[in-house]
Amino acid sequence: MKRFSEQLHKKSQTVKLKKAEQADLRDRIVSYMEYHPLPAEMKAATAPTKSPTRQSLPLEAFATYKLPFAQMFKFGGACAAIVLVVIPFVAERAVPGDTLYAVKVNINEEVRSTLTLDPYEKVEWEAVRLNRRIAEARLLADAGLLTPAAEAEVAQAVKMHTANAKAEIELMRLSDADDAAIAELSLDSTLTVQAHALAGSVLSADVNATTSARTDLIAIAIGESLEKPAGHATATLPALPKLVARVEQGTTRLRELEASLGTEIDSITTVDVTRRIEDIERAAAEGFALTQDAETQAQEILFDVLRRTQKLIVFMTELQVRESVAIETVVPVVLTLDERNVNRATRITQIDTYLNRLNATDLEDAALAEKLAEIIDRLQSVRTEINATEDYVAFMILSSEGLALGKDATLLVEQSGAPVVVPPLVDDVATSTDAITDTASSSATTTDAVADVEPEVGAVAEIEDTTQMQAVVIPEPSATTTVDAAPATTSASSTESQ
Amino acid sequence: MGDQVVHSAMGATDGHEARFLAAYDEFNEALFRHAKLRISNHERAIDLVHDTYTKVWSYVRQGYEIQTFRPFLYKVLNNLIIDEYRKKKDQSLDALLEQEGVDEGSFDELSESSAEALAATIDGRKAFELLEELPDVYREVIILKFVDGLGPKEMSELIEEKENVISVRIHRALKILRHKIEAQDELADEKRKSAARKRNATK
Repeated sequence: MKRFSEQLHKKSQTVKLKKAEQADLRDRIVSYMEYHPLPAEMKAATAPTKSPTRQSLPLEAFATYKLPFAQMFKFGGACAAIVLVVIPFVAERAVPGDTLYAVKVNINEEVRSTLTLDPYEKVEWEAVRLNRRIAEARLLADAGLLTPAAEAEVAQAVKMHTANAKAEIELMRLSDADDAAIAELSLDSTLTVQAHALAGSVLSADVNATTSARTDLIAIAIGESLEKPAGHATATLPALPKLVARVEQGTTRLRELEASLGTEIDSITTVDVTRRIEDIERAAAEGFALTQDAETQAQEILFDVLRRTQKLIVFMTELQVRESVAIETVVPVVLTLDERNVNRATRITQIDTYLNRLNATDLEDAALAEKLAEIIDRLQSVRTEINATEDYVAFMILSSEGLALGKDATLLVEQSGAPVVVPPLVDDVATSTDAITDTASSSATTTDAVADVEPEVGAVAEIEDTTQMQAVVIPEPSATTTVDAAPATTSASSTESQ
Repeated sequence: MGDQVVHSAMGATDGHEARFLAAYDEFNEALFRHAKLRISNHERAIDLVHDTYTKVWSYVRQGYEIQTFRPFLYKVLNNLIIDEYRKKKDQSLDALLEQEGVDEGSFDELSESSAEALAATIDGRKAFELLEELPDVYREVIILKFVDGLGPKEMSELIEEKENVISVRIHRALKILRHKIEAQDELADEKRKSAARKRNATK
């Protein structure tokens, strides 16, 4: 076999390439390598088989390192997902003092702010950021972790976001005064609600004394933000089409929020919220109806509707606000015409009852009798003026005065010891939230909010002066909102000031 | 020009390119010989060797590290030859394999000494001339064993058959060669006798 093998092998060696063919084949292969070079990372990498000499030279001037590009690329996606998704997501729950809080404020929110191109949305976003800062401060305060430094930081952030929003509004005013006015209203509404909520939370903290944390600095910052600079021009009412559009957006948002809140709020709050939404929708419908005939009046109504809508949105979206302040403080109830009529009749009946009581009283003390006679005269005069008054606000002022006079006189008679004939009083009207609100008929009118009084239990009528009102709200005549009677309670009212 | 470019790259990396070209210089002749004996076409054999090296280079470029080039080069070349057969031959390689693949062979065919004894009776030079006449499955093992000098294990891994099958094929290939050589010798002897008779008749 060896012989066979040698013979065959020797013979096969005669099969070979010619020198020219061999050179040509090598050139072809080298050309192929030239046109298909190794990837850059492979060129940078060291040869797979290093010579021992090279490895053993510690003084070599240059060293090459093999980077695990394949692994880096493999895990690159996971790293990117962590950096771009997980960390920002977790950071959203951070509060001042947390490690990721800087990510939340300086990256998440700034990126979103940069990506928001519409000026109106920018203002809204700044308002949202402001709400976030205040909510964070409340969370810390509830946990007893609101240090003076953190409070100052939040106050500074509130000022900054407000300044940003105002700067954006001023820029908008140059190009679109209507949008600027609406944006300013939105910002002011947010600040107002937060001011109410902070006042409520500070009061609560004082009463309960459970925490020493105060939000005075933040409240001051918001108060300063609400102040209008001297010479600040009163914003003109926005154009009707834009108002209509914003009102429709706002009411739609309210209904969405109402549906989404669902079981998150208690049934009483749900009833209150629904009532406010109905009030707003009723006023909006009235404003829409006036767009053809009385444009200015429609603008005033819709502007006020927008303000109330914005406040209610803030109330519904901010949990801390809901817990700190009553909805009546933020968005008072607006009575329907039927409710007003019932209320008017009730109050007149009460005043008449007082008059009947007092006329039937006979005092022995001459001085007291003279004083009582003066009160009765005044009460009679008020009663006469009431009959001549059509305006509901004026009626409320007069009737409140009459009820107060009647109560005072009753106390006077009781103190004298004379027997008093006490015919039963008719219960006053009370809404579901025990509040009555109305607005003045002109932007320059000062109105009083009137509390309904239950004389039988001797409650004190509470009359609050309100500040200037800018819009008129006229309840729809056909509205038939159910009015609850509250015979055993004293109702108080407050008129939202602007 | 191409040489210069590649060599400069080699200077920079002193790695994959150098190893690859060293493998070319070492094995190109053997690969060409193998291809030429298998397909009996000089130009086509050169092309197959070229294709073998370009495929291996592509493999290197993908980042695979080839520890030993020789078996890898033979494997790629063998696959290309099979492709070549499938393109050209009327009778497919599969059919050829099917004809003998199921037969596990007799004891004699499996015995190395038996193959040696058989080979000892064959003239290697004559056998070389008759390689073309062998079916490829036999020619393949004869070339791998006696020309390329591969061991049974290497051959088994290369053509993906058991070593027993390889032994059987070698044995049968040698038998065929011996028969062919004997037939050739007989024919030559017959011709020589016939010529002698003619010369005697002429005298």
